Amino acid sequence: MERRSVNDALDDVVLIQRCRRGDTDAFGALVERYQDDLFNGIYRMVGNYQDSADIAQDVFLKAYQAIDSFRGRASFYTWIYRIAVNTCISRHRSLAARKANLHVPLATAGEDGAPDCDPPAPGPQPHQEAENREEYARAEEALAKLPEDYRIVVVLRDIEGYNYAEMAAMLDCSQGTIKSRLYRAREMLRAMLA
Amino acid sequence: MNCDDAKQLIMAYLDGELPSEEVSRLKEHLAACTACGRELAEQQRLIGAIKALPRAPAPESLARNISAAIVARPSGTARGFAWLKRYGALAASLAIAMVAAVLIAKSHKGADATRQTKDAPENVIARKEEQADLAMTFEEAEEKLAEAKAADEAETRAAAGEDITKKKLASRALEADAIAQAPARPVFDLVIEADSPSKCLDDLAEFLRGRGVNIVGKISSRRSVLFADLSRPSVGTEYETERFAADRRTDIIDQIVQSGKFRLAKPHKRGRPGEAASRAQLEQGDALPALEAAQEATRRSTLAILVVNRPAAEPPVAAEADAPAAEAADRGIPEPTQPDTQ
Repeated sequence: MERRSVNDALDDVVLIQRCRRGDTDAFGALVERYQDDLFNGIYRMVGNYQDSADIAQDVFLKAYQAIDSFRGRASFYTWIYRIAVNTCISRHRSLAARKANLHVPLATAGEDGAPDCDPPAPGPQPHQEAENREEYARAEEALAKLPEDYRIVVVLRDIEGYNYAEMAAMLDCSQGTIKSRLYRAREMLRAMLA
Repeated sequence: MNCDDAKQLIMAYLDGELPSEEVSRLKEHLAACTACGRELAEQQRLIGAIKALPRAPAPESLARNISAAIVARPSGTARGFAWLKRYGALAASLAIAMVAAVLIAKSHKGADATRQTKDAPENVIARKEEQADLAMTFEEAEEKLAEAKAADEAETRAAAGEDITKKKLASRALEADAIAQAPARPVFDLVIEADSPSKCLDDLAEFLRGRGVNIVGKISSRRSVLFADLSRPSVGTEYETERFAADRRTDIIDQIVQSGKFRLAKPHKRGRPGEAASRAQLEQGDALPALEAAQEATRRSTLAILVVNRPAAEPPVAAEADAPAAEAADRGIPEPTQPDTQ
């Protein structure tokens, strides 16, 4: 996701202060602001649309209940994204049997119940747009096939834009582990997309 | 640099994590080696493909479900999100018009025309107004609908502009409060102790410059303080200028602590930014997040490190010989291994 401006960060502080005083509307404003980015990040980690919706709801509810513990050292989005990563990992451990078989590639969605999303800006030619969609579908399938530990680091780095230090903090491991895992994940993706 | 070394560094280079001196060496190698140039291009293409994946928008029901879950909490007297209800108010006015129209059409039969519309979702909100509005004519209902629409639009405009003035005033008030409560001493990101604080400052500055950090200034009179600018890269680095310096701050502090070259002043724990007494005093109430936000606006790009004299009874700092090993570990490069098969 794009990094927010300083003004947005100050707005978040004001909203969070209001949440702490019981203002639900303020929390609603935070949901409105971050739900798309958070859902996208979760979907890329989990690979299943309905599970992602459940997890996103769970994450926001946890954030609401724990709003007093948010200290403001990281951005609000980073804080809830960290909750999301932990929630995805614990869900994976209890729902391991479901994770692979229900994946619907978003780039070809529509037929299977998951709503269509806006494709990235394609070239003007219809056949080029079709080729792009096919390429995105292959990349999406490859990402979904990665083991979860490897998929998460790719999502954190290439989709969410976190650096190695942030990823190590989120996943409670060393930067060396992050680098190693990311390297192997990318090698696996390259092998699948070759 | 040989090709094996280069392949190890390409990933960190593309991720913006390679120290500046390594970037120069890698670029020299890439300029002369087509195989590594191809490796770079392939990795770059792969990363681009992942970044370009279409975004999955949140389901429309997500915010509604969150709102309902908050309202349903056993301890809560919370209401649902107002921005969802803005659409509900308009729907309620439509329901009033619908009810009035049905009543007029069936007025001579005396039938309870509300029964069939009563259970419509829109009428859940309109129910209270139903009784009072039974005698309303259709024209009056239309008028009321137009008023509700106008009020809704005005509210939407105000919300979208989002009392920007009010918000800014509120946040400035918070900032002013927090700054007024803050002690005169600055809040430091890290507190280090050394036998010779001024020499330690020089070592620290050299350490940070080697990691692409701009040194803004050093004070070595009554206090030994180093200030670094985290928002702008020093010449030759690939560091993104758009990133929040708070994130960079965490990264730099982590590197300083893990290098083993510098000793954190007690009672601060390893791995956590040293918290000067002034910060501890701010832990009470809501001042800390507001202060941090306020300070972030100006301090977002500044790293402040205080170096103090080590107490005489303490043993000397770890030997310099350990530092190169620690530094190498800090810049650890992954070993290429065979990927797992599924």
